[in-house]
Amino acid sequence: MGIVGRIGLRLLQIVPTVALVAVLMFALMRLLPGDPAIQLLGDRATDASLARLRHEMGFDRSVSAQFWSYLEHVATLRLGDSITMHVPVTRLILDRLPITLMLTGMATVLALLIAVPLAFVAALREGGAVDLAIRMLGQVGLSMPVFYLGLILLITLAAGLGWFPVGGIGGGFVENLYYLFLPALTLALSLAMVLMRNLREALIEVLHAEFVQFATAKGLRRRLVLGRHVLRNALVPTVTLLGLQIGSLVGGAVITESVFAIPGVGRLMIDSIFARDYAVVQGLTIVLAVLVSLVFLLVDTVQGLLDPRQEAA
Amino acid sequence: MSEVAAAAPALAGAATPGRTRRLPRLRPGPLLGAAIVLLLLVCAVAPDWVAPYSPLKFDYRGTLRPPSWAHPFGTDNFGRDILSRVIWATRIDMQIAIFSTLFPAVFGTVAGCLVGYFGGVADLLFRRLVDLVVTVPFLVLVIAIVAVLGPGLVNMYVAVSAVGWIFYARLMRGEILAQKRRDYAAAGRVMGYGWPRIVFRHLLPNAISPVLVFWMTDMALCILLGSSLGYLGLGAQPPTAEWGVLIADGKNFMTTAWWMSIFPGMAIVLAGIGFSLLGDGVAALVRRR
Amino acid sequence: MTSLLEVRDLAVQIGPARPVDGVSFALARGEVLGIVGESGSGKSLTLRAILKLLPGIARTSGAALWQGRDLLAMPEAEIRRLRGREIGMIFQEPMTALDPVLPIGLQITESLGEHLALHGAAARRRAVELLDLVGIPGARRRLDSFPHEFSGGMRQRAMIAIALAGEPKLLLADEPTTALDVTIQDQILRLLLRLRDELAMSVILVTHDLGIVAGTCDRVAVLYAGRIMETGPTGAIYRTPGHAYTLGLMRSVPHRALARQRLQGIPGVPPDPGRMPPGCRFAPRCTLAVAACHQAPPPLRPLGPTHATACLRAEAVAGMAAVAA
Ligand SMILES: Nc1ncnc2c1ncn2[C@@H]1O[C@H](COP(=O)(O)OP(=O)(O)OP(=O)(O)O)[C@@H](O)[C@H]1O
Ligand code: SF4
Ligand SMILES: [Mg+2]
Repeated sequence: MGIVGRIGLRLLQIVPTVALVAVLMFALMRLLPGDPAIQLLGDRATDASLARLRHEMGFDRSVSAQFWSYLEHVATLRLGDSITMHVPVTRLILDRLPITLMLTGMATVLALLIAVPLAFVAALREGGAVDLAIRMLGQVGLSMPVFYLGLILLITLAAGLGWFPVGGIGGGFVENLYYLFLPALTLALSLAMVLMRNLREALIEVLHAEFVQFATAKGLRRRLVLGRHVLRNALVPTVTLLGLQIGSLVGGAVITESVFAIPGVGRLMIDSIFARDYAVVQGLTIVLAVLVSLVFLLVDTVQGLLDPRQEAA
Repeated sequence: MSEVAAAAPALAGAATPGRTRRLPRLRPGPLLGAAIVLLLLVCAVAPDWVAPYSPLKFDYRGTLRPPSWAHPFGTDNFGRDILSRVIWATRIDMQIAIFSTLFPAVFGTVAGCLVGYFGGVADLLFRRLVDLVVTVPFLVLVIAIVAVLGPGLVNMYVAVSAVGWIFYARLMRGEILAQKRRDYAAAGRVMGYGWPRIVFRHLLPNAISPVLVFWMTDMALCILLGSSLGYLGLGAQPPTAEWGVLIADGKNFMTTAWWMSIFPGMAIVLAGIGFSLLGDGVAALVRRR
Repeated sequence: MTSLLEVRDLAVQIGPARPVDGVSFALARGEVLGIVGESGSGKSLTLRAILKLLPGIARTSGAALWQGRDLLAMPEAEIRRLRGREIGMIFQEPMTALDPVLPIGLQITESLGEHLALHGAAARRRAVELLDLVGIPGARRRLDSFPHEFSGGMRQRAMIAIALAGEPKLLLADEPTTALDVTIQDQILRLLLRLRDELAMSVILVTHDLGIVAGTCDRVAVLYAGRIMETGPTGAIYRTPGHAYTLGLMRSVPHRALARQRLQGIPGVPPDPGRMPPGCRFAPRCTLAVAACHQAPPPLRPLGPTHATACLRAEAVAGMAAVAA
């Protein structure tokens, strides 16, 4: 099967998973105790207004009727309307998704820029003082929650030194890049710590591999041995890990967007939760699941390119 | 943290003859981890004994004081001693570490055992569930559940438990599958033992160590998660002193009183380091066997 | 005639162990030298030590004179230029020695670029020639194949092609045939001999197998527990072995047909490199051992112009070999 066919197949495999997520979200929102209408309007709301809201949310119909119309909504990519903002959820999400994608994209690039050199230095000096220092840094970094890291950067670089804005995203692409730098760095640092630790181990393993010795025995200069043979092989597990981290990255984005007041989908998620805007929470979860699935697919494809042995599998 | 560098396999495939089994050496990393965790536990059990002030005592003449000898971590906008609040918050955060992982660890282990041992439809369903859970970011899923149940610590435990057990079960399932292939499970069957005995007396004890190691790491992760939810306002609720909540309290004073956020955050980092170092130690112990 | 390579008193220290301990031999231009010994005798370490390929924890001492210049004393930049260009090496396991994620073609052309300044299409053409030379069918198509797409024999050939890319004067071949079945084994050995003739290359052939040595090598060095036990012309050693260990090896492989077996005829196991016996290292397993054998390590002494042994009872051994013959 060609690469296109394989990707197509994987795309199809996403469908049932996302459908399951959708069903799960429906169950979660409808079957758990509590009346969303009361939660939304408070227990002193009049019966009339409660009834109106229930009707608006479709809660006055039977659960199965709700379920079918919900599935229809999901299947047609209309995710309903936001109860609080009175706009289609799809619009709301699509408006904010680019910002989050930009944030996570920048963060991934930054994380690689931080993690790869540090991991290389540590692995080449395995057991030395530099290695120890880098590993201790990693240990501290791994124990640092994203929101705290963000606050530290805010306090020092933004509020303290005034190098960066303390929040928002500015207007225009260039300003976006500037405004998003600090939040992206926040996300990147916490991702980089995980990457660094694993890449270091992968590198150490590869450095001891026979084929690296053989490459040296061929008389290749060190730069070529490291940059081609060692890096290419260590990249394989790193890409896998990068894929596995996508969940944490999205979770981190949700928090970071709150810390830096960035109007992306993560912020939208938190706001909707406080507003009890279930349609938005539901829709967002589904969209994020699709996104994560696409990243998994991307990672698998890249993996196949990086490691020819996986083609067969 | 200093691994024994000399033990690294330098030439691939070279056997090192004459290596003898020794008692595990006490390495500084895990020892430090144990010390940190112990300190945190003391703070959690007897905060009134450790903390210099009451965490609730307002002092309107001494608000937003920077760190000093009297108040090493400074005071907050109500003049409360931040060190004391951080110490009292330990109780909540340790509770988070334990309560968010206890049910997942126990239930997940048992479920993983059964699914791994019996396979079949249950296993199929379980694998779908795993696909599902890895597709939705953990934090997003937990937040969504908390959204429905309403913010608060107890609801957070419910949300984390509802999802978290799956990771333990997946780990356990893999171990059981590996164990099952070994012959003593077959030997047990031949001897006519019932499945509960085979699963819980023979398979489980041999498969449990990775779960114990993961548990340690998971506690660290749950402290990070719990404090994040606290910070977002979805976990512990404000009058409660919790590290994340304390940091959120300080956020409005970011420019004027950095100490309000910075010190509680250090407690989180310390706890994270403590649990993961201890986890490394447990992992090393387990690997030796 | 001056030697192409002369190894003097080579020793490798790893922690408390000394798995290579005072190895000396010399190699003339165009010569094929066999190094034989059981598993763990230090054959691979010796070859790697010569090219300074051992990891930092291994301490190497002695000298390895390449056309008079000591490789072991050379700065890294200088020895790097010799690796692959003057001295090529074939590793023991083609499965692990080839980079799994790069196509074979690239693994050849990168050497060509490094040593011969051949790049692009010219390098690819030369790579095809090399693959042809080592007998890989459909060489042009195989350039873009990955190691896992090759069979064991083909991988071994590919590795030889890579080692030949820099047109070295000396090829260090670490058990190039151990993993292969007899027919392929034969092909590879004949290939090496042909290359020796065509390219005027010297070869050090490391093997477990005295049978292979008999058919291939001009001279032999028998290695045991990190030391040279006996060294000399192949014919002389076969006719009149001068060391009890060599005799044991010969008896454990009576027929060429059985040559593929690992040497296992001598009872007992080699000593632990950390705890070597004080006298002759073979003494604990030797049926001919006398009291003196356990006292001090016997020095190499000449038996003929180029034949030397480290056995105190060389004459008895020769007698036994004669009786058997
Ligand atoms: N990195 C290392 N650390 C400790 N001991 C080592 C190391 N590398 C090799 N040795 C030891 O050195 C000895 C010689 O190893 P070497 O690989 O040279 O043997 P060999 O003769 O090539 O054996 P084989 O025929 O199995 O390839 C062995 O006892 C081995 O255990
Ligand atoms: S020196 Fe002695 S022990 Fe060693 S091989 Fe000769 S006879 Fe045997
Ligand atoms: Mg070897």
